[in-house]
Amino acid sequence: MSRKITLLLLLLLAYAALAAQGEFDIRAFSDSTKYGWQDWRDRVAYRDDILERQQLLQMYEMEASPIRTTIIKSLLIPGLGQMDSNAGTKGSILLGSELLALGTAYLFWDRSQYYYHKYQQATQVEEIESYYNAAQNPRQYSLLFLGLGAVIWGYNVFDVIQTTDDYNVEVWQEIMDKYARKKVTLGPQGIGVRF
Amino acid sequence: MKPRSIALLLIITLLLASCGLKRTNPLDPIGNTEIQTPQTVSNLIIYGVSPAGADNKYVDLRWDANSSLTTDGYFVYRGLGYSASYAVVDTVFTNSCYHGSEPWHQVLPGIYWYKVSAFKDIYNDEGLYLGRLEGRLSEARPVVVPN
Repeated sequence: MSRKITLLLLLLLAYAALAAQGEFDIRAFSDSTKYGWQDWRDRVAYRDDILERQQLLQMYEMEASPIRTTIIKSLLIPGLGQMDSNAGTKGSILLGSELLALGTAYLFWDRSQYYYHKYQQATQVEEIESYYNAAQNPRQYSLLFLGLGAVIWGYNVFDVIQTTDDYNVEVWQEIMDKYARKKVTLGPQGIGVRF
Repeated sequence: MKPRSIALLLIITLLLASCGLKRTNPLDPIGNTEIQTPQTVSNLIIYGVSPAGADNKYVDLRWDANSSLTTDGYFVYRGLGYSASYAVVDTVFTNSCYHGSEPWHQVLPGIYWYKVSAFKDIYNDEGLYLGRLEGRLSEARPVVVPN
């Protein structure tokens, strides 16, 4: 019984394979005109074009700044993403401003803490008041500079997106310019000269 | 950067800047409204000075007594000039000081300026001692201790 079933299945498979072969149209498959190519030369030219584009894309990927990386860098160290995107001056200014703002904030905070500690130890009414006032002003300046640092940091993150984008456009433009200037090309078809 | 974002960041900055310091000193009368600040000592007078040639030099100081609600005692300060720094030379619990009566009192011939301040021992609700809060210093009074 099982032999009969096996045989029947084999016959069915053989028939399906034959039927499929019959339906496959090799001419339609190899018809290059459906892609707009008139003959094999067009096809080769198209392939060369794709290869060249791939090459340009590879060059672009090597030279371009990945936007995610530059954002992370700028999030960690303000200005670093800009430096990576060939905007060293802007990056240095942002980093310098951030350090200056945070440094000033720390100095004011330190001075405030000095007087605040004295305030906490004071037992005389006048001293309590004067030390509290002496601690409060630098604390406010410290917070202001900290806020300024936050503004610079926020701007830096916003700016790195724009800067990286501009840089990548420039990189692509340069690659395209170089490609356009390249007059002699070496391909599978031999040496090509562009006039 | 959009103007709205800049405005938001500025508002955050101003909010941060407006945050005041906490008044954590337990003796701070502004931070702890239950504390009564000792009154400033008034009508400080030099009641008497040792005469010239006396072996034991002294200065007798008197002032108006403060309410016992705000004052437990007084600190007596002495300086060598009106604007000089003053140091506590005695602690008394009445409204007078006979400076020169104790062996540690050093009263030598010269010109001195005296100030007095009141103090109050502060306890919290549970009766825990927080410290001694001192009020404002009185006006300075000069005295010449003769040789």
